Amino acid sequence: MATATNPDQRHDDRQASADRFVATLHRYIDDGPVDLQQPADDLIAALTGAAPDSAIAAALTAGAAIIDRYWSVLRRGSADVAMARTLTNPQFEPLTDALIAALHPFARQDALDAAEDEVRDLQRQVAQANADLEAAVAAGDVEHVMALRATAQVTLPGRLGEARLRVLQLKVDASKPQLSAAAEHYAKQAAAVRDAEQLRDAAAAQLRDAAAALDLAQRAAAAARAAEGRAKATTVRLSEALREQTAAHEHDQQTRIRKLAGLAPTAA
Amino acid sequence: MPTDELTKARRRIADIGLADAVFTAVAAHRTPPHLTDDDAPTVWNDVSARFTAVEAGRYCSSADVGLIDLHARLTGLLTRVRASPSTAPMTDLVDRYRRIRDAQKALVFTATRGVAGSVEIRQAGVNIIAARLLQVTGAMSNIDEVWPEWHQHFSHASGAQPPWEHTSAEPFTVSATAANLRLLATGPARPWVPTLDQMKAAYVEQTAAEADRRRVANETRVYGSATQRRDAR
Repeated sequence: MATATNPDQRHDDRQASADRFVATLHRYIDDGPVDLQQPADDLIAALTGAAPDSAIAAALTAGAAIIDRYWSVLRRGSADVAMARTLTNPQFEPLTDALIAALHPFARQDALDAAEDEVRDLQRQVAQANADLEAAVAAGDVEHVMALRATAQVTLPGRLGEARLRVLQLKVDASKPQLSAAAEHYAKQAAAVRDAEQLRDAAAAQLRDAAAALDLAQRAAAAARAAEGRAKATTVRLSEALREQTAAHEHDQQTRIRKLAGLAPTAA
Repeated sequence: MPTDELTKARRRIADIGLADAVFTAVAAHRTPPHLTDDDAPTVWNDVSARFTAVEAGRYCSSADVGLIDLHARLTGLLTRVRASPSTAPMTDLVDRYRRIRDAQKALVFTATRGVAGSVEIRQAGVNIIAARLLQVTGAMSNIDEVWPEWHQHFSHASGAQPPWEHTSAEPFTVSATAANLRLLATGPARPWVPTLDQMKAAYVEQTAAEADRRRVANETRVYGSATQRRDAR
C-alpha cells in the first residue's frame, strides 16, 4: 500500500481503512463469514503511529465483539440469522466510538497523562501531610502542628484543586476534536442516508414509469389480440361464405347446363 | 513493536478467521488448517458456536473432531509439566489448561445440545444429563480410582473431598492450578479429553467399579472380610 505524504490524504487513508473494516464486519453479519484479517491489518497499518496502540486495539476488540455477539446469539438457537443481525447491530456503536477515538487522537495526550500523574502525586502528598499533622497532634507538638497546618490544609489542597482543574480542562479539550469528529461522522452518514433516499426515490419513479409502460403495453397487446380475433372471425366467415357460394354456383351451373341439354334438373 | 494489548486484539481477529476456516473444513470433511497449541482452545471454543448455530445444529456431532484435537493438546501439555522442574512457574501452562477445559466444555455441550441435554447411555440403559456426564468422566477416565467417594456427592451424603484443588461448589472440577497440573501429570489419574462415546463408556465403567466396591463393602460388613470368612471355615 502506497503511503500518502499529505496529512489530509493520510487522514483520508486512515478513514478509508476504518470504513473498510466496518463494511467488512457488516458483510460478515449480512452474508456470512468473510476474511477480517486483511481489513484489520490494513487498519493497523494505517493507524500505527497516528494513534496509540491502545486505541487501535480498542477498535479491533470492538470489531471482534461484534462477531462474538453474532455467533453467541445464533448459538442460543432462539434466533434466526435475521434476528441475530438485528441483535448484533447495537454492537457497532462501540466500534464507531472506538474508531472515532483512534482516528482523532488528542494531540496533547502527553500533557493529559502528566496532569493526571500530578493529581495522583498531590493526592499522595496531601495524605502524607495529613498523616504528619495527625502524628504531630498525637505527639502534642503544637509548634510542629502550626508549621504543618498551612501546608496540609491550604497549600497542598489548593495545588491539588488546581491540578484537578487542569486535568478537567485537558479532558474538555480532548473531547472537542472527538465531538467534531463524531459530528463529521454523523454528517457523512446522514449524507449517505440522503443519497440512498435519492436513489430509492429515483428507483421508485423508475418503477412507477415501468409499471405505467407495462400497463400501456398490456392494454395495447389486449387490443391487438382482440383485433386479431376479429380479423380471424371475418376470415372464417368470408371463407365459409365463399365455400357456400361456390357450391351454390356449381349447382346452379349444372342445373342450367342440364336444362339446356333437355335433361331433368337433377341426375337420376 | 506493537504492544501486548494490540497483539492480543489482532490475534482475536485471527482466531475468528481460523474458527471460520476450521468449521468450513470440518463441515466439508476436509482436514482443518493447522492450529498452534496456543490458538487451539480458543479456536475450538469459537468453532463450537458455529457447530451449534449453522443449519440448526446440523454439525453438532462433529464436536468429536475438536475433542480429539484437544486431547492431543492436553497430552502434550502434561508432558511439558512432567519435564518442568517442580519449582518452575507454570502460569502459561495453567492458563492453557484452563482454556483447553473451557473449549472441551463448549464442545461437549455442543455435542449434547446443551448443558441440560439428555445423553442416552445404552450400555447402562440410562439417560443422564450432559453436565453430570462431564463431571464424572470429563477430566479423567478413572475417577473411581482417584476419588472413590465421588458417587456420594451425588446422593448428598458427606464424603471425602477429591484429592485435587477445587471449589466447594464444583468438587468435580479440577481447578486450573499448578498443583493440579502436577497431580494430573504424575499421579494415578488418567487425564484426557474424551469424545462423547468415550465419556459414555467411561461412565458405565466408573459406575460399575463404584457398585462393585459398594457390594464388597456390604458383604464385608455383613459376613466379614474374605480372609475372615476363610479363617472361619
